[in-house]
Amino acid sequence: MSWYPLGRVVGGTVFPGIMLTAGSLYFFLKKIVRITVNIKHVCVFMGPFFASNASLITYLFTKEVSKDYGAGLISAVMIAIVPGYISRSVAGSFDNECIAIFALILTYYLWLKAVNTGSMFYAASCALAYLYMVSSWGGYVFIMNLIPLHAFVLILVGRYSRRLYVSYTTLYILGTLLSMQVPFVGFQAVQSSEHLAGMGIFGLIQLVAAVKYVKSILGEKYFKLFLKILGFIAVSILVLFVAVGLATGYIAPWTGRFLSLLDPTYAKKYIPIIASVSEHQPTAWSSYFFDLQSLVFLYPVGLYYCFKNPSDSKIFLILYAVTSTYFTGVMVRLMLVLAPICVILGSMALSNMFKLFAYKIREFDEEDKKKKKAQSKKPTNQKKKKKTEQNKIFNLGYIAATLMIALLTALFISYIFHSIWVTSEAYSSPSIVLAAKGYDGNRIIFDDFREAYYWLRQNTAPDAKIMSWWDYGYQITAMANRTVLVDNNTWNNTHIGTVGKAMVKTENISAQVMEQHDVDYVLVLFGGLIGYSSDDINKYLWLVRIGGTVDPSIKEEDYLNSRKEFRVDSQGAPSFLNSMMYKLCFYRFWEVKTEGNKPSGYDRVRNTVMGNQNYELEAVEEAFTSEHWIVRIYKVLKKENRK
Amino acid sequence: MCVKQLVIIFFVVLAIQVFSDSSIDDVQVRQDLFNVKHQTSFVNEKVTKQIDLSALVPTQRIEIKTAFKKKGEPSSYFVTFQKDMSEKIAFIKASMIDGTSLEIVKDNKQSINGYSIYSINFPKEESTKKFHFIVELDLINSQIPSPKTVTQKENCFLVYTDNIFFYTPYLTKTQKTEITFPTNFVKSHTKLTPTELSGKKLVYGPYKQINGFSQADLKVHFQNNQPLPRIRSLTKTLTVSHFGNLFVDEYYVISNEQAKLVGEFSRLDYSRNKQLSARGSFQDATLHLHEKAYGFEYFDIIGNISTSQYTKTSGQTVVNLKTRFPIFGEWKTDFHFTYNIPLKEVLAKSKKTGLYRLTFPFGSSINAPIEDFEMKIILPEGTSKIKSEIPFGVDSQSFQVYNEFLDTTGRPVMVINKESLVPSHNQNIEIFYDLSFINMWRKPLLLVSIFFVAFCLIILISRINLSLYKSKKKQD
Repeated sequence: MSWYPLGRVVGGTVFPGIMLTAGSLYFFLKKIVRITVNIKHVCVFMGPFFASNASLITYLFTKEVSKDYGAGLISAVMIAIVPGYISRSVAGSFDNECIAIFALILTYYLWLKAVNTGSMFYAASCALAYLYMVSSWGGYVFIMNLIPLHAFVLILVGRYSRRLYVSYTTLYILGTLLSMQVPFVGFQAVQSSEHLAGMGIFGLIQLVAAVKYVKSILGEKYFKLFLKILGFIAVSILVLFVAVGLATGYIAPWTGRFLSLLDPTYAKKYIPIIASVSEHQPTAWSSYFFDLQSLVFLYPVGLYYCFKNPSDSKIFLILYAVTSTYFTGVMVRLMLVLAPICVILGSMALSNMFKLFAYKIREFDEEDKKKKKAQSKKPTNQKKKKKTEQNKIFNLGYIAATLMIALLTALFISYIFHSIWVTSEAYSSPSIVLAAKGYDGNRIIFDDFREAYYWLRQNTAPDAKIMSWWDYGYQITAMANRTVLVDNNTWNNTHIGTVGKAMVKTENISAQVMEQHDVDYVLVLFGGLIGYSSDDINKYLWLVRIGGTVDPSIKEEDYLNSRKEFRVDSQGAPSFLNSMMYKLCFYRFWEVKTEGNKPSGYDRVRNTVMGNQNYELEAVEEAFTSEHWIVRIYKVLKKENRK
Repeated sequence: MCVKQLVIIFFVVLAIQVFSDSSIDDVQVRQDLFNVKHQTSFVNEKVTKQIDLSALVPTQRIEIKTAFKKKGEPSSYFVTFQKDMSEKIAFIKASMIDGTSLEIVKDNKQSINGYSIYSINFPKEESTKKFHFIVELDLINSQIPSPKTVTQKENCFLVYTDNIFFYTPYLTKTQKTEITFPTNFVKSHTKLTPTELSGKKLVYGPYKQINGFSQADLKVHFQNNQPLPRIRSLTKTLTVSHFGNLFVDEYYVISNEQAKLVGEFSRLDYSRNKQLSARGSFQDATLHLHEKAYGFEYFDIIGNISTSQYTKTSGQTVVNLKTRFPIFGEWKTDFHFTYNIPLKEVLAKSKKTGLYRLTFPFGSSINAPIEDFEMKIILPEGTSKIKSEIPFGVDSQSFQVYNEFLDTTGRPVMVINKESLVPSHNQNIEIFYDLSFINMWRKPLLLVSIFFVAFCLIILISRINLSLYKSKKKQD
């Protein structure tokens, strides 16, 4: 159980897609094909399996847009290794995103197919793909905004067609109805403002269709009058709807995650729990290059080709590229959404340029052949022959074309090398097992997390309640099989705030909070011994900010010293040095010598000696500390057992 | 003479009954034990009982010089144990002093109310009536931590209880009992003159003229800071593949029987001074496997455990496993250890009977007693005439059916269960079975036929035209 003592309705708080997919794959393998396979193996290989599916779909998608097999093939190669996507699709990354990207590309592919053909079959299939996307990732909102945007832009630029009408109305009606079947979404699909665009465009497209129909019946003269009246009525009805909806609360207010997309500073101001996640930070410029490499240069070229020769689907690509580029600027996590479009545009660019220069070379070759033929008919002259050969070598266009092809090939190859390097360096190692190189070059493995979690699993009472920061909630639930107060499903900010409060207040207050919540063990992360920087002390200010949402007496400035610095040494703020979290992390650390020439109690993450030393713990006692001190678990003493 | 002795024993029993508050049941049982007909047939000339408490598994070595007092062929010699002792016996072995082993069989008919009687038959060709032999016991659950809880820096103490005398139906002329402790530090021990404690050794006796079924409680309380690893359960699964491999999966639940750790567990103290702060804890387990073993995996439910090593020495592979965390008193952990052995190393085919013979060690090579042992041998599909040969008694043997990888009729699984194992049980057992050649090719043939049928169907379907009218292209 998690979220003790509240509990959590699992069906209503998670997207079921990934579990359903893994479960059905497992069922298929185990019960139908009868291969001995463990559900864990299925989960581990979900990422690569869906990445390969995504590769196939990307091929189809690119081919559909560019009508070019070459571009399709290049895009399939590129998406297979693009670091931005591989970060979520390596073996063992069993996450919503690993199937969501496949579902996203599939939905878009079917949408373009529907728009291009006007076929209701494709639109309905698109709605099914959309259902799969809705059931697997919160990013489905992106689809429900991009497709209406596409339809809207098409209408604006005068590309309205019956094909668009058929595909959009089919998709919107079916897709919305289907998405409402997912418990986590439910009536949000028609009520929340994130989905409003889809509904608005649905109305608009009806209007446009009606107007076109009326126009074909009425004459030009009456039509203008009709248009004016109709426009007035439509606008007033729309305004009325929105006003009534907002007033009665049927249209939910903008949720935090979505608002932080539009206004990057929104979350930081109002919802610390969203801003505290590193994935929700704005993207650094370097990470664009890290995750996309040469695609950063290639995808504007692809955009150029889209503008040069626009079609319904190329307009879609432009919209997709522009919006997703904006969103990645807001949140690192959305790099995942940008990666496919970069790959598609980049491969179109590559393919087009390859073709351009390859045709040039072929032209020269053909000219050459013609000349040769012409020469062979005439009696051969050795001097003339030499001249033509020289011509061929010094022909500037020929050289440029060859050079360009070599350059593009080099770019492509460097992309492949970069992707492989990034994958092996950054995205292949599990975050639960840390590795470092020793002085003798040997690999040292820090398996502290699993050590501590397994200790909890084996040597605590089966109904023990464990309090920790929410980041480790899922891990404790799964690996230690114990009840936690809060976990990564951050559905209740108050409860998380209470845990934050228990961590940042003094031991006495913390003991009270823990007693109220029936806590048996407290788990903290401390990296000071080996220099593991993402520990609880470095997250401390987020605990303060989030704790401050439930208890106004927790103020950030109290935890900073007079120079507004957050320090763990003797110059740190007293309320920090006496807080529960500090005491738990640094307990008896003052006796440890971490580096030869430094005094004992030297924190290797903060590069300073700990401030508050030689204290005793009263409300808790050390129950377990992992080998490298990364995980420290304390047992909460009952009141009568306290010192 | 017979009557006289009976009377004496009767009085002894009466005395015991008076001094020790034994129940009526016990009297009844002892009277039943009188019915051991041959109780006067032997007289023990000299008995030396050696109790070794220094090892992980306490052992007893009882050296007996006995003489047959009746005429004719020597009958069975009975070795008896009281209730609390017989519960502790995990393994029993008897041999003549020169090393030739003797058959020792538990007499279930006469073992009542927890009292157990074992009988030994001496070799017939022995012309003398005097025998000099040894009975060896491995004990389980015989040492109890006292105090029951310790802190990280305290010493651990154990209590061992037994009978000072060798509990025998026969008259014993002289008897001596020796106890070896792991350390010099003995907190307390029972005194029964003559008793002498010197260093690690405690000697009782020699005592003269002890009547049958004599008893004197023995209790020793001594320091033992060594860990007491205990395998709470071990499930060993062997999967035999006649394509040349034997896959072994051993699932251990391992705990420490030392006094429970209370209070703080300080990693600082633990890593700083193992002598002072890691008393009674362990983190290592050593396995001795077959020389040709390969493909080791060491994992638990949350993934691989990254600390293990193996070395190949002549004749065996030594695997050193380190558990995720140190195991203190009453802590536990569990893990899987799997490996493969080329089948030809452990399987032979008898030319006489045509049966296959699989030889594999029982129990575990980890030096620790096992509470609950289960061995599953998954044999190939179509195996018949399965028989086992185990050098000692087991609790149960049964058969199951197992389905995996394209199995149709299922594979027969032999399941052997036994409780209370000690390292002495780590002996080879043999499984005999019959498997015809064709059964080996069942699955490949199955696959071939499935694909054959599938292709045939596709060929057929592609040649059938069910359309009602010919398509335009063809008409053109």
